[in-house]
Amino acid sequence: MKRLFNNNLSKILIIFTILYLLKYVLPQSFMLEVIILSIYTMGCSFLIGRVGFVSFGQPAYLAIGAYGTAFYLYYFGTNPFVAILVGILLGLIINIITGAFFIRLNSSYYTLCNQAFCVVNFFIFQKALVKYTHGDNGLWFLSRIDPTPVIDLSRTEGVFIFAFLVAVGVWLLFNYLMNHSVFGATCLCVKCNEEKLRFLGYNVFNIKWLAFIIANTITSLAGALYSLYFGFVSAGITAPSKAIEPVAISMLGGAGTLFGPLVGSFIFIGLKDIASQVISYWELLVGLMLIIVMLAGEKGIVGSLEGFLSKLINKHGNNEGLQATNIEGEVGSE
Amino acid sequence: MPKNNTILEVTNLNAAYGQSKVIFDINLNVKLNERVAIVGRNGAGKTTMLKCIAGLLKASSGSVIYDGMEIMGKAPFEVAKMGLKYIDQDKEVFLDLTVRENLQLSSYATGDYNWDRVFEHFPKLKILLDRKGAYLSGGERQMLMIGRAILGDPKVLLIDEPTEGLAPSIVNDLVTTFHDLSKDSAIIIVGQNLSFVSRVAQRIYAVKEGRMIAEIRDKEEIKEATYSRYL
Repeated sequence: MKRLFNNNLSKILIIFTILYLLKYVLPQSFMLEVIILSIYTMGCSFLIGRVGFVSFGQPAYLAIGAYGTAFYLYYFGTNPFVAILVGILLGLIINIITGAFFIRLNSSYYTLCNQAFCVVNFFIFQKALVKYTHGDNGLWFLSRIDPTPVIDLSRTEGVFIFAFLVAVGVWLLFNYLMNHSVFGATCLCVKCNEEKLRFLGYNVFNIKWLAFIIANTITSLAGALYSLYFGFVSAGITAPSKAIEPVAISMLGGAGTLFGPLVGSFIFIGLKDIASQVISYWELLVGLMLIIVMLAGEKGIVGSLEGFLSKLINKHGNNEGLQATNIEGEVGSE
Repeated sequence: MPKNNTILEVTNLNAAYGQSKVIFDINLNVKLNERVAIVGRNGAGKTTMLKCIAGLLKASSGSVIYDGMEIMGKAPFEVAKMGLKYIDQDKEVFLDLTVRENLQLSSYATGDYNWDRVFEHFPKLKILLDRKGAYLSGGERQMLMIGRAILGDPKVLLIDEPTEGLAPSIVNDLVTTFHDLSKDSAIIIVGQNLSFVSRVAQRIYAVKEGRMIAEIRDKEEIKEATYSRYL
């Protein structure tokens, strides 16, 4: 039992099985939103928790992926897979360019520069490119999406399965990056003490750049999925007022944890869809919850629960666990 | 091979923090396998000097020749990769990573996965492999920092205040360790613990208010720590 819960691959398998089964209990649209929002938040959570980059500009990267997909489907073609690829590639190119400049900044300057980038993007999509984006009226292309074999992305069911599989892939990727790669470890070291990493012979700039590119391209991928799901994109997707959402969800779930974005997204969409039917100011509940979670230890829900659960599992673990504790005790007494 | 076995040669090094000049025309040289110490009071510019050599601070002028090559202006990671390693005085390792992971990071950067040399100098690290950096004592952290630095067979180790905050027994162990380490690398120590410096260094540079004021070679003077008159 202990070994099962200590293995992240098992956790991913269990959690995503539950997530898939939940679509038979909860509305499919709700689950789809949770999945896409959690992919969106994953990049942000990784940057905050593992690299130390807090960004209030994530809607910009989301919008780039969304508009890449939308432009393709509205103006050029009808294949949704190609459209997603276009969204990702556009995101990748923009992230490579912007990342090379933004990661030179530290802490609050990085945060605000991203916010400014978000504002610039909002202006571009709403005003400057209004001829192509149709500004706030947006681009409608649902009817232009061709049915596709195996997974039909012209239907919500197909988008759900595709987004679900993408999410599994994203989680496997981040599990590898966070827990099994030197790159993941160096990211954490950048957050702790980047100067020390330089002493060891690492090019910190490249590490931060790669982290930025990976995380924000995943955000663009989420944008492409949003675009495909709604069959519509408007400038509102990059509204600066929405910039707090991925940061708040990351903090709520647990920034830098593997499952924090999923838990945070589930709670956020849950409150938005359910609590908003009872009270109009549902954001108030998110705010209060965020304050409580932060005061409880700044680790988010998953971070706090992980500590509690591992203590519980160790306490009721088998003899192997006790033996391991004793060995550690001996070392400690030296 | 560098001339006269000199592995590091610093000439007319000047550095400033903004408008405030901190070190003035520093000249020093270190030979292969030599143990050199830089001593001086707080604020004398010792750490600034090491950081300039390691590329962590940009010097305003001067030259740093390492292994026959000019390294002034190179990024710190390039300097480290060339085999000139800096060990900071703050005893901070990567707290969230285990000892094993800390060593792996260094191995990955240098391509040197031979940890036997590390365990030869610091056998305790072998027992602590799975312990996180946050749960190591000051002495254990110092061992890990040096252990990480010696991976990749560096030719020069710059060690800033290695004894600060350490128990006397650990300081004694470090004396032996530094003697052993110098069989493979030249060592430059910055320190204020004169009894430690006297037991380790073969040559001493005294620094006062950013200027190199004396070079002590006399064994008796080093042993008796009479060079303290310069500080």
